[in-house]
Amino acid sequence: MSANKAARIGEEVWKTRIDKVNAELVTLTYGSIVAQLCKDYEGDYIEVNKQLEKMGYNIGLRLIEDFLAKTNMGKCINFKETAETISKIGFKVFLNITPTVTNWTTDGKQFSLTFEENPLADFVELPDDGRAQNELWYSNLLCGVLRGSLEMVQMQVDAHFVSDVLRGNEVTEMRVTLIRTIDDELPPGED
Amino acid sequence: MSRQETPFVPFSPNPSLQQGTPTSTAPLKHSLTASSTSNLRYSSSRKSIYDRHLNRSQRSELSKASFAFLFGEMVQYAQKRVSGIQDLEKKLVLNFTVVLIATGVTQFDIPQGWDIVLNLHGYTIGQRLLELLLWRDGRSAKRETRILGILQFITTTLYRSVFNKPADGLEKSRDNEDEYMLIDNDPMVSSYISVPKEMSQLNCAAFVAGIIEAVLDGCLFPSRVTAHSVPTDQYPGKTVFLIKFDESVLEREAVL
Amino acid sequence: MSSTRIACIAIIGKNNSPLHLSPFPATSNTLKYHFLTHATLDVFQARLPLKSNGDSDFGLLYSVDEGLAAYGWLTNTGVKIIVVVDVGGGGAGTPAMKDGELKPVFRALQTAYIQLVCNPFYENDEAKPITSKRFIEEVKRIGENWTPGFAL
Repeated sequence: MSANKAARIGEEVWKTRIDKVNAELVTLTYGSIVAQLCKDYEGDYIEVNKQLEKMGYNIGLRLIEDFLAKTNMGKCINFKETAETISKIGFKVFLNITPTVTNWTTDGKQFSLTFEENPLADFVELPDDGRAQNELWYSNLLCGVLRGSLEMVQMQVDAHFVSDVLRGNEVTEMRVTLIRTIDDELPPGED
Repeated sequence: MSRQETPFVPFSPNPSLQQGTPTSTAPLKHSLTASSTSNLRYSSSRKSIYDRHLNRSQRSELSKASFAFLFGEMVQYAQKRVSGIQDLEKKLVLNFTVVLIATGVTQFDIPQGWDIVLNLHGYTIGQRLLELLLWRDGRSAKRETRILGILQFITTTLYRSVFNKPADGLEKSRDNEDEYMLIDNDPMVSSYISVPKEMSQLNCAAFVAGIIEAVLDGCLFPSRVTAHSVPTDQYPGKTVFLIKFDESVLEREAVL
Repeated sequence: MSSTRIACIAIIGKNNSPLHLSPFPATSNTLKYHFLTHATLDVFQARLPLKSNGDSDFGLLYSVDEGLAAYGWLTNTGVKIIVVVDVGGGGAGTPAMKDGELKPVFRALQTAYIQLVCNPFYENDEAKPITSKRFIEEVKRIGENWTPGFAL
C-alpha cells in the first residue's frame, strides 16, 4: 500500500469513525502521569523511562484491537507497509499526527519515525536538574505502545527514541527495529 | 495539522483568534538570550514552548480512545501506588473489579481509598485547564464573583471544552445553603469503565470531581467536590457532583 | 528620543505571595521594586470591588516621582502581573503612556505564565517563587525588548 493510500485511509477514519476529545485533556493527563512517575521514582529517570515503556506496552496490547476494529485493516505484506500504516493511520487515528517514515536500513528491518509535532509534549519543559535532559525520554510511552501493539500482530520490535526536542535536539525521532516475526507456534504439549 | 512557520517569533497570542483585541501587534525583536544562566539546552531552531501559539491546540482534538487508554493506565498506576508492594494479604481486601470496555476484557483490582489519588490527578489537571480556558475567553471573560456565575461557567464552558457537551443539570440543595449539585448523566470517564459494582464508579468520577474542585479553587471559590453515583434505568452512569462551598464564599455572596 | 522602558516586571500569586520579580537592567537594586510592587497590592485590593466588568487591565496603579509608573493586570485566577515603567525622568516632550499600551506586554506575560502552569513538572505551589529558567528568560526577553509604540 502506498504512503498516499495510507494517508487517505488515516484521514478518512479520523474524520468519520473516531470519537474525539479535547486534546489538552490528553496532554495534561499524560503530563500528570509522567510528573507523578518522576516524583515517585525520585528522579531516577532511567526507571521512569522503563515504567513509561511498560505502561505503553500494556496500552499497545489493547490498542491494536481498537485500531483493527476501527480501520478494518488486513495484514500488512511487509515491514515497509507496517511502517506506513503506523505513521499514516495509527498515529493519525489516535493522536491526529502523521510522523514521517525515514532512514530505512538497506535490509528493510529498521526505520525512523520523525515527529514534527507531539501532542503529548505540549507545554512541557523538562526539569532543570541537569539530568532530566540527558536521561528522560518524555514520550517513552509511545515506544511501548508500538512494541505492544506490534507484538499482537506477530512482530517483535524494539522501539526507542534517539532524539527529542525536549532534550534540545533538532527533531524528535524514534527508531523502530524489527527483531523477528513471531511465527504461529503452538505451545509445546498442544495439538 | 502543521505548525505555521513565520519569520517572526510570535511571543504574543495570535490576535486574529480573539475577538475584541487589537487587530495586530508587532512582535518583539527576538533577542538572543544568553543561555549561560540556564543549564537547559534548547533546540537550535529556538522553538521554545513560548514560541508556540497557545491557541494552536485549542482546535485540535485527539481520539477519545487515547484518553481512555491513558486514563486506564493512570488508574492502574494509582492503584499500585496506594497498595504499595503487592502482597497476597493486600489482595484479600480488594473487593472491586473494573472492566475496561475499550480494550476488551482486562481486570484491575482496586483497593479502597485510591480515588483520592485520582482526585489529585484531576485537581492538577484542572488547575492547568482553568488557566488555558480563561485565557482563551479573552476580553469576554468575566471574572466570576457570584456562585451562580462560576457554576454556569463550569456547567457550560468548562464542560463543553473538556467533554464536548454541557453538563446535564445544576441544582441547589434545599437543605443546605452551601451545597449545589452538578449532574452528568453519562460522564465520559465512566463510559470507558464499566463496573459490576456500584461503588467503583465513584473512583473514576473522582477524577472529574478533582477538575471541578480545581476550577472552583482557582477562581477563588474554595470548596469540596465529591462524586456520587446515582444510576437510573435510563442513565446507568448518572453521576452527581456535590459541591460544598466554604463559609467564606457564602459570606462574600451575602455581601454582594 | 523617548527613553521610556520597562523597569521591572513582577508576578504576584493570588495569596499575595511574590512569585517573580525581574528588574531591568538585571543588575539594578531590587529592593525599591519590592516595596513598589507591595504597595500596588493595596491598589488592587481597593479597586477590586469596582472592577465588576471583569476587565483584567487595572491600568495605572501607582506613580512614583522619579518617573516610575506601575501598571497592573489581574487574571481571573487571582494572579497579579505588575509592570513598572520608567518614563525617562519626565520633562516636556515625553509622551504620556497611552491607555492600553502595555496590553501586549501583559498578554505576553500571561501567555508565558500559562505555559508555565501547564508544564506538568511545574509545582503550582503559590508560596514559592518561580524557578523555571525558561519562564524567567521569557520575562527578561519581554522586558528588555519593549519600547512604546510597539502596540498598535
